[in-house]
Amino acid sequence: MKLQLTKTKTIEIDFSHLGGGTRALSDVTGVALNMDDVRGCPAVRLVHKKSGWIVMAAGFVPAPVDPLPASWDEANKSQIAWSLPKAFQAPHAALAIQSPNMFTRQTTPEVLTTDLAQAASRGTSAPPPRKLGVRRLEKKPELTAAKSGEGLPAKDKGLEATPGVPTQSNGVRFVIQPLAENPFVVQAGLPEYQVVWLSHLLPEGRRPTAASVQTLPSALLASLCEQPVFNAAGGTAFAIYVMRNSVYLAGYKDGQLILFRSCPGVAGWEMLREGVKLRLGVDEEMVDEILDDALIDPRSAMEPFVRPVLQQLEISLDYLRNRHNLRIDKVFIMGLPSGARYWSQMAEESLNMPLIAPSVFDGLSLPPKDRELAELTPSKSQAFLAALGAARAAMEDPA
Amino acid sequence: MKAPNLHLNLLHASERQSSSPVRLRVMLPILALLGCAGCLVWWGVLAGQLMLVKTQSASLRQDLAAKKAEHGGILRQMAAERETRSELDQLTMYAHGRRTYGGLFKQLANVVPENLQLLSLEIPEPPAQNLLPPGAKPGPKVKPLLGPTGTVEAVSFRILGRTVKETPVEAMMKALEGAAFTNELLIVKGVPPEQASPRIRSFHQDTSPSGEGARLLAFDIEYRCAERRFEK
Repeated sequence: MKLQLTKTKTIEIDFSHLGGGTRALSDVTGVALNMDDVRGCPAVRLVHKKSGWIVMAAGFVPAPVDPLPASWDEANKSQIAWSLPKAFQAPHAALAIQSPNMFTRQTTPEVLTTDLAQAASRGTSAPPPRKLGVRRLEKKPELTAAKSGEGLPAKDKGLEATPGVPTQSNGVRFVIQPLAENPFVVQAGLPEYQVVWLSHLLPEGRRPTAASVQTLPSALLASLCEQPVFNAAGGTAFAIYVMRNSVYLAGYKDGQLILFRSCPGVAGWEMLREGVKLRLGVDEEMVDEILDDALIDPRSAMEPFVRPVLQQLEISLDYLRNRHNLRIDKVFIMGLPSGARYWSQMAEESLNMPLIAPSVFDGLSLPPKDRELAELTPSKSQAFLAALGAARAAMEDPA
Repeated sequence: MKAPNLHLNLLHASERQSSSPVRLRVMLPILALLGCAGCLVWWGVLAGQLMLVKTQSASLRQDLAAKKAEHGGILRQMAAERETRSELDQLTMYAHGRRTYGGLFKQLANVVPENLQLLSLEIPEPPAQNLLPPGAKPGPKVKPLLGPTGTVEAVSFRILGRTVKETPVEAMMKALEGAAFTNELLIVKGVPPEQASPRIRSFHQDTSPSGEGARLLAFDIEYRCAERRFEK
């Protein structure tokens, strides 16, 4: 329970040790920030009831006044007072952030330990926040211990991160989750000042407040969870997340993540659209029509962008088949604002495997009064992929 | 299908903020109410304890009053017992202080010469003892003590008689020094005449009018007897 003494002073009394179960979050607004979308920030309010998952609202909310800070100074100067429209005022918010400084990768504990040790040996740390009124972030004891812990096991040196618990290293906050395939983990991280800035973006005492901060790629991972085809396949599937500037591949086994990678050297759908525009000589407004219609075949223009992704898909599927004896026949293509049909055709031609491009809201109940939301095409719904994924992932954790 | 574990949350639990914290304007009345309720409970407890103590006090008073009456009775009985015991002690002391002279008189008949006539055998009354409490002056309201204040009483035995000459008297006195009388009569000699026993109080010509009175001698001899002791 939190007690607000003044506008900025709040104390928390923890009753969890007194017993009683913890409830998972049941009403969360997911917001994708810094998505370079002129319409604003995609936001989805997701509610979990006994009857199922309900999308209470989905739309674009005005972006915060200040941009994502690039340093502690910018974070301290930032005017933090952001609020969401009434429809999105759930008790909690899950923020998915696209940042040039973020990273999300599949790695192993050994690599992680090495990275931590290197960061500790560099010994640089970020300056403390001032204006944000946040407590000074002390250097983690384990990083200090790492300097003098030579010869000790990594665990004793304090160089092992606990799954699900954010860790700070060299001014970067990161968190890991184990994959279904041992000993791999997926690691996501952001600069400390950006996490602190995001944690204060939605002020205390007003709905919603940030309960979760995720990197954009990690927020995508949970967006498939309620897809009927995904569940029908027992949670064993593959997904291609095509975002504006990047493409991510994720493999799932029994609903658990087994593989995650970012496609190296592959641009996102923005470059693809630019390529189509240049190759076919159309303007911005015509691109989506061409990519969604069958009148003109844009595959020749798409091929330089799609082919590397399909090659990476093939490599990944081979890896899963050879390493885990896992044959995956359901491959989702998510995040594309247009042209999924052609991606699927090209995949069928080269891999003999069509791609599934559902609406992100498939498997979720939509409010009957919101006709605009109900009439949203699968392509248009992709803008909410990260926001929905962030909200769905946050609802795994207790309140 | 297992529950997914796909939440990579970069926020610490301590950084999570509440959208509905309990505000001071809500907290203060609640704290005030809780304080008042606490005071009321405290006062209630105090009042309860006071009532309990009062009840116990009243009960103790009643008990004490009942016991006081019983205690008075016990004190009266103890006083009566002490009275009775002192009377018994007094009686015991009197019993112990009793002297018997039957043997003396029985033997005396054997040692009295023929030409000696005993006129009187007397054990004089001892002088009256002061039975008033110490320091009290005699008066109608002053209650005398139950027993004698002194525990030792001197006893004497006077023999008055007539004879024709001194010899029978001497013979009788000689006989009274015998072992048969040592229990009753004390023989003390070689001391001043006032302290000696027997002490011849008088030995003179009998002047009483009788036929042959001119030739008779009257004597008065006093023997000290063993002291009469009022002791248990």
